[in-house]
Parts: sequence; C-alpha cells; structure tokens
Amino acid sequence: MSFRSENVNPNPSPTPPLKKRWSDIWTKSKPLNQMVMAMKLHSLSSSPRISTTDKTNPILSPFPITDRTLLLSDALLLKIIALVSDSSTQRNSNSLVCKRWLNLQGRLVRSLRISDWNFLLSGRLIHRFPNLNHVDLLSAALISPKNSGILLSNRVISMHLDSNSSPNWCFFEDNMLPVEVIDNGLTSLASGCPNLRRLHVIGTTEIGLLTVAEECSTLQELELQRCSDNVLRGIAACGNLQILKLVGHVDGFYDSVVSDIGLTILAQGCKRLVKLELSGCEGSFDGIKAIGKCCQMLEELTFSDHRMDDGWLAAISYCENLKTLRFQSCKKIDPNPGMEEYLGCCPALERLHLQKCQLRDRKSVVALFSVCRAVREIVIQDCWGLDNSMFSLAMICWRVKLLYLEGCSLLTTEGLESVIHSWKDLQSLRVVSCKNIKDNEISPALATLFTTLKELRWSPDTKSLLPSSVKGITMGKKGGKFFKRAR
Amino acid sequence: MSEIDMAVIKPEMMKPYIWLETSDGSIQQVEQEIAMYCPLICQEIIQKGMGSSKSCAICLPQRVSPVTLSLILDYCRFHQVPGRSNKERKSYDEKFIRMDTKRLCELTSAADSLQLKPLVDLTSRALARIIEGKSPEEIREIFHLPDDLTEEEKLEPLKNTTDDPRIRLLNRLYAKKRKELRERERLKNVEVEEEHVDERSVDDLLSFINGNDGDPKEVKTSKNKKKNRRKKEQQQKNSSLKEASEVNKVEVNGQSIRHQSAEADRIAETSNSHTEDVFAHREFDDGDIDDGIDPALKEKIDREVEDFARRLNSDWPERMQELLSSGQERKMMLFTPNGNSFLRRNA
Repeated sequence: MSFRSENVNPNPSPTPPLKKRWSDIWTKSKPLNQMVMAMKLHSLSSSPRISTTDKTNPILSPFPITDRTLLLSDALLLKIIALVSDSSTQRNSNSLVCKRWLNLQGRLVRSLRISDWNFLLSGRLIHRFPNLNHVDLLSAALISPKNSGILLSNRVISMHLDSNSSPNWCFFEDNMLPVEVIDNGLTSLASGCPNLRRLHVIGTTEIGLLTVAEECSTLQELELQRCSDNVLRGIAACGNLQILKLVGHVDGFYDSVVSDIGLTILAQGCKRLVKLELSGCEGSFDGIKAIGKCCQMLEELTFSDHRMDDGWLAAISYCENLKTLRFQSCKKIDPNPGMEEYLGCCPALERLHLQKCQLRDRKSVVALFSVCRAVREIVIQDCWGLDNSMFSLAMICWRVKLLYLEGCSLLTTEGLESVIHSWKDLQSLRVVSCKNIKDNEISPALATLFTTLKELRWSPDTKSLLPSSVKGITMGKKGGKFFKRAR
Repeated sequence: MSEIDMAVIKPEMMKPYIWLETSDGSIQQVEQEIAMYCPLICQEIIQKGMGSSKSCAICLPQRVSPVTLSLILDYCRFHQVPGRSNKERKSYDEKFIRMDTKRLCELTSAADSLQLKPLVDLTSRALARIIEGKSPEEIREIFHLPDDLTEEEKLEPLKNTTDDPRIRLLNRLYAKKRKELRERERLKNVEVEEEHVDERSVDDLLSFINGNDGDPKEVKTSKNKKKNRRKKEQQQKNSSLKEASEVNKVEVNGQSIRHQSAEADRIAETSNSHTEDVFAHREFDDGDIDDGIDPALKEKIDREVEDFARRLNSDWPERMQELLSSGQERKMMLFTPNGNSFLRRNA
C-alpha cells in the first residue's frame, strides 16, 4: 500500500503546475526572466516522455509491413465479407485472396449443390464449408460426362448423357454410383454437418438414412429419390422431419416401389410431418389412411404421377387437418372410388390444386370434388379433358371464394358461367389462356357478377384482342380470285 | 498564488472530465458526456467508478492508440450533440471515413473493442465498399495480405463443380488419399502378391526352357536346317529376358507417364516381332514339305511348333497385363505424395 502510494504520488504532482503556469504566463505576459525559468523546467520534465516514445517505436514499426486485417477479429472480418458476398463473382474473389479469407468465406455458405461425389468423400467439402445446412446431392450421385451436350431431363431429375450410351433403358442404373459409395458419402456428410436441415439424396439405403438421422438431429426437410419400402425403414429415426418428398418411379430413369408397407412405416415413424409429396408412388387406401391417422399435423399433401390402387381417394378424409391438396401430372385420379357415401370429406381443406392432370374420367372427378366439397380455393392449370360437363361437377364445392383457371382449352364461357353463378361466396376470379372462353359470349348476368368481385383477372382468349380492322379481311375470296387467274 | 488557485478551480467547475489512459501509457482528459457515448467507457464509469481522477484513469484496450482515440472522440463529439439532422450526420460520416485503409482498419478494430456499434457499422461498410468489385490480387495488395493459398485450394470448386478436368482430378486424388490412409495394411498384402506373381513368371520362363530340352534328342537325326531353328529360338528367349530386366529397371526409377507410354510401345513392338518370327517358321515348314522328308516326323514337329506358338501367344498378353498393372500401381503410389508436383507439371 505504501509502495503504491509512493509511486502514484510523484506522477500527478509536477504536470499540472507546469501546464497551469505556462498558460498563466502566456495570458498575463509576465517578464522574460520568469518565462526563461519556466522553459527550463519544461525541458527537464519532458525528458522521460521522450524515453517513453523511444520505447513505443519498435512496437509501431512492424505495423506497415504486416497484414492490415490482423487487427480485425474473425467475427469482424466475417461481418465485412458478408456485406460484399452478394454476387458469385465477388464470393469467388473473396475466396481466392488468402487462407483466412477462404475459410471465412466458406463459413458464410449455408446451401450447396454438389456435382462431384469425390469432393464429398475426400473430406474437403466439410473442411471448406463447415456451416452447411442445406445440401443437394442429386447431381453428384450420377456419373455423367460433363462435356456432353446431350441433356436428358425429367420433371424430377436431369442428367447428361454420353453419345456412346447403350440403347437400352438401363443406362440410369449403369450411370449411377454404387449404393455403398453413396452410403459412405452420407456418413461423411452427416459427421461433418451436424446442423443439417435440408437434404436431397438419391439411391441411398436405410443404413445411409439412419446415419444421417442419428448425426443430424435438426433435419427438417428431406427429398428421397429412388426410394423404396426398404429405404423407408430408416426414416423413423428422423424425429424432427417436417417436409418430405418421396420419389419412387420416374419413367425412363428408374423404377422403385413405395407401397402401403412403406407408407405405413413412414406414418408411424414421422408423426410431425407437415408437408408430404408422393411422386411416382404406389399404395392404396390403407397407406393413406395410416398417414392420415398418425400424421395429425399434416397440412399439405401432393401427389405427382401417382400409381395408387383403386379406392384410395376415400382415405383422404382421414387427414383431419389437411389444408392443401395438390395433384401434379397425374394421368388418373381414382378410376374406381367406390360408393359416394363412403368417400367422406375433409372439413379443414382450403385449397385444391390440379396441375397438368387428365380429368377425363367422370367418376374420378365426381369423387374428387366430393371429398373436397369444403374447399375455398380451386386452382386448375393446364389440365386435359376439363370440358363443361366435367367442370359443372365443381358446383358441389359451394364455399369457393377463389377460382383460378389457366390453360383449360375445352371450357366455354357458358360452362364457366353456370358454375360460378352457383358460388355465392366467390370473391376472386382469374381466367388465363382459356381459348374457348370468348369476350363476346359474356352474358349480362355474368357482367353483373364481375362487378361484385374483389379481384378479377380476365385474359382468356388473346385472339379476341385483335384490332377490329383486321376482322374484315376475307381470305377465301382472294384465294378464289387467285385460282381463277391461274386457270 | 491565490490568483492562480482561483483560475485553476474555475475550468473544473464548468464541465466534468474523465481521465483515459491509452495502451502506450499516456493519460488524457476528456469531457465526460462525450466519453460516455462509448458503451465500454460508460460501463467503467457507472459500474466501477473509474476515471474520476488521474490516479484511477480508465485503461482502454490495447487496440486503441492515441491517434485512433482522438478520431473516435471527434466522432462521439459530433454525434452526441442532440438536434442534428440525419442528413448532417450522414455527410459528417462520409467525410469522417475518408482515410487510408490502414487507419480505417485500426479505427474499426478500436471501435469494436470499445463496443461502439454505430462506428463499427460505418467503418465495416466503408471497408466492404473498398473490397467490392476488386479481384483477389487487388484485395491482397490493398490490405497487404499474404498469398498463402496452395494451387489445390485455388483450383477447388467454389460453388459448383465446373467443367475443368483439373478440379475433378484433384478431387479424385483427395478421395484416393483417404482410401489409402484407411487401407494401409491391404496395400502391404498387395505388394506381397505382386512379388509372388513375379516369381511365377520366372518359373514359367524356366519351364519353357526345360520343355524345349526334349527337342534335340528327337531332332538329332534331322538335317542342318533344324539345328538353325534351335539357335534362333534360344536367341529370342534371351532377348525377352533382357527386355524384362530393362522394364524392371525403368519401373524402379519411377518415371512419368511418358515413360509409361514408351514402355507400352516397346512391349507392343516385341509382340509384333514375335509374331513375325512365327510366320518365318511356317515358311520353313513349307520348304521342308517340298524336300520330301518323313511325313510322320513332319507331323510331330508341326504339332510341337504349333503347341509352342499357342502357349506363347496365350501367355504373352497376360504377362504384358501384369507388367503394366504393376508399373501403374507403383507409379500411383509414387504420385500420391507428389500430387503437387504432378499437378504443377500438368498445369
């Protein structure tokens, strides 16, 4: 204590009086003698400061030579790099500056689509991008020549082909990595990215899926291509899975079977599903019923090119909280739905979307609209076979508020009018690219109905927009003249 | 003296002051309301009661130098005054950050240590603006960064794999390295098997030599032309042995792909020459028929010649494959530690 006080005491004592005297001298302009004395005292006291500056010099000297960003912490430099990582060219430039910037730039990457499986197996992927939470491995699992100009593409998958590929349709099997390699890759990915949330993978087995499920407990979204019942054995371990897409069969690419067994395993394993898409899957009433009963939080259900057995549609009513039902590229809905009183209804259903489907079978359409009779929003895009009689079956959906029709070329103005007049709650109407719906066929009642809508988008037939001056042209007559002259 | 005391007391009474000590030991007096704008200094004053006198001055972090501190205090002095419009503040900020990159980095670091978030955001955006649109070389030059990336890291795919074959080769090499690290024991076994195969090939060569010993007994009664055949055959065997030894030497040296292709050409040439010799033998056979020697003996000799030729033809491709495969394996083992040089040579 006494030692410290002794040290502290001499420091403050000399400085203030010097400063004060100096200012006083200047302000009051005292005689020269006193000024000279003050200058001497100042010079004597300033000598230790000079020594302190000498000490600090070697510390300051290396600064100009060293890295200027060494002063910045990793968190701060990461923040600065994040500000300029908008374009891919800028990200490339940042990555190629030095090792530190390469690592920091890699930390900013969250989503990645991998095209080379060796990049995953070599361990460089995890080392380079340690914070990934969305990985797409679909392209990496396919052995395809990158320099080929031939691209074979499907709605679900696309790949490059070599011109020397065998003419048979088994080339997909030949051009895909072995199952063991894919499972090993998934093991590497799972151990390196424990915070994975989204994963797209093809051709894995239940072992690979189990590994991912055990290591990545936060996995929420999964797309399984070339999925079969055996693969789904491992899906029960994904306890937090909410969004799932299963692809079983793709024409011309691969043929895997997801049946009632797989759907039942799925239902019992993933009870927290919110969104489910079944593409190219088989199954029947029992499978969908199991999903409806076990996955009580299911809100969105999508069928793409399904291969369901007859009578499956009645199981939709077991999905008590279903809000959105979507059909995409389905050649059939349910050819033999059974008796109408057994179909049931989804009380919570709000949206029915039909995209690129064939609606030629009356039984299917009747059953579909019956199951969805509580729906409020109907979207029909690019469907075949929807003529006036088919569309009139939609009258049973008496609570519709929004109707969106696009690419329904068989429907006429009269058919549209007869249905929407029966919907008293209709508020929004969009009719796009329906070439059989004419402006000149709009009745006064329909025009009156248009005035009550909150939203109206009416562009059904682009030919009607031709200017009137073009209508007077009569090509037949001129043609006749041409023939006469020739004779 | 009394007048001096009065003058000293008056300035202190006007404003409260805070004592700050920078890393180089210099102590400075700052208006309290300006210094309080820094969260760190605010905490020190409120929680610990520091800074009220010169003896208990607030020690600032190491990264805050006197020059930087004066800049920060200028910033605080401007922004802590109420009533300034946003436009005024923005124009002041624009002028404030017009400084060289080195000082800007120091300022960013100091502001971060003082937890002065508005200034950190301002200087971070300024640095980001400097970086934007620049190439890696330019960024390296501006910030005096080291060029410590290896060629492999530069070639590594950034977002998606491009069509560059070098990148695909690099990933393949990495994958092979990992496999080799896992399968070291298996590699040892493979080496043992290779040695065994080499021994067998030597035995095969010896068996061919022993198989031909029976011929001279039967041929003693024949004419001079048959003796000439024996000599030629022996010469061929000796030459093949020499070639094998040469190939082994080349492999031991461990040359590049060019040598590998050269060896393949040599082996092809030897095989071609061998086939030519076979045709030559057949011509001699035709000559013998014209001479009218014993037909039974002719048939025996023809069968033996055909069997010998068939054995050589069947065994030769296998031996070629063995030589090629062993050479490739050894060279791959040599390449893996020298992946860098290999890539650089290609590039």
